[in-house]
Amino acid sequence: MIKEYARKRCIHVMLAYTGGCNGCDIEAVNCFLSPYYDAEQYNVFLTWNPREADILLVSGCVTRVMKEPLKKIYESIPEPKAVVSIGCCALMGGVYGNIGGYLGTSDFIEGPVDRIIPVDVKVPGCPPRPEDIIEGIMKAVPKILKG
Amino acid sequence: MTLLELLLSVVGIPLIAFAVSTVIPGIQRKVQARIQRRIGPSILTPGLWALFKFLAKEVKRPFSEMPRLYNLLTVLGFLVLWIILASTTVPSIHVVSNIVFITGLLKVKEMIYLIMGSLSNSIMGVRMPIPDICRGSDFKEVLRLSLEQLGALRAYKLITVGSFPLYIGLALPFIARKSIFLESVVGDNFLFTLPGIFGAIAYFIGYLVLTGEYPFSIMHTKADVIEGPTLEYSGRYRALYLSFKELLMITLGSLFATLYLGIYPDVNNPITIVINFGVAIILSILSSILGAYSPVLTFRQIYPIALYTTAVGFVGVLLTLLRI
Repeated sequence: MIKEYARKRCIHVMLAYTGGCNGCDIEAVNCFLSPYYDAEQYNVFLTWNPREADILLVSGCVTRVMKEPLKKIYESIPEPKAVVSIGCCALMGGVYGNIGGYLGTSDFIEGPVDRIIPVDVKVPGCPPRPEDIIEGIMKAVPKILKG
Repeated sequence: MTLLELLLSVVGIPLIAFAVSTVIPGIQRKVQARIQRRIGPSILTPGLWALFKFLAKEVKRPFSEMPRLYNLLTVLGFLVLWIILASTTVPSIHVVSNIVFITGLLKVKEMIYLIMGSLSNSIMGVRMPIPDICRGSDFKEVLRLSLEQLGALRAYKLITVGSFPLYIGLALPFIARKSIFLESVVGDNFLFTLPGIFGAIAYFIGYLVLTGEYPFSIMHTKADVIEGPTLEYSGRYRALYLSFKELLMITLGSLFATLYLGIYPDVNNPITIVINFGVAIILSILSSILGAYSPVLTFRQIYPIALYTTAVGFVGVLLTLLRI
């Protein structure tokens, strides 16, 4: 019981950027550090350390050079963990995935994220609103509680 | 002192200190959040619930040459601080309650960060697969460091320069009493004397350096070294590291109360325990207020600050010697 309560009361979120315009990252950081959204009031903290994290927040289209680092970051996070992918690029490649237009998808894009690591929650938007990102994180919490 | 009193002093009081210290990160975070006009997390979350959460998480093998030693360093650090705190509760036992013993153990604590950084080499610390020529130079024959090694180097610089103010602040009350033993310092209110004020300023800056709080958090700065030497701790070892950090804050605060106010945590007099740990909490609140307004300083700023604060401490020593 204490274990579940502690997990619910303290959630560390790691933001991993895998290529793109940084719009999603700005909105994600906005969730945690701005006085308006202040996700810390729900005891959700932003961290840059995978060893500390519970939830991996992935943004971007996953460029080829970021495929292996993303896998390694995912593997470095101790169980229980969950993955939330945010933004059109992370969900379907976005403008970068379709950069070739009628000629096909770009060879430099390995995304979307769920081709590389298992994704638990998907938050659409370009960029997604901070409210949606916080909601996405909250939807991933039950997976962590079950452990 | 009976055996029971001795046991309560060396086990019970550090245990109370540890329990109290679990709220310190929460108070600090709350104070900083309120200064930034945010609501901030609940007070128990960053210190207490985080501790339980990490205890219930999986332990990942750290990327290290000697993973077991790397993990055990947290236990060693925790024990060192426990011993320091325990030694201040028994001033009548001169072998442990003296400045040489306390300073030596604090140095061990500082060295632990250096060893942690040298042993760790995480995936976040791997250099880029392409030459880093962004800064307008090809960095020929330049030693490239991983993030943890850079953290270790910064720990080393902080040992050599940054911690001077703390040790001069630590020594001042002993110089005033012309003794190295804690027994001669307790009961003497040194803070409200002229050298005491100088010493307290030096001690407070040293406290910030040793706890790695803003603005002296260059060893752990998220901006470039992510978390420095302690990046690789996971599961129960991260919980231990968190406990180590919490205990450090209360130990240094408690030392301040013992040395500058003369109130040591006496097992026979519970009010002294309350005052002692209360002062420790006040010191941590002051550090969080300062931290909320401060950027991360680089060594270009840390060196002169350490120098000037040491000079302030030295003035305190002169005043003490001249009995002003």
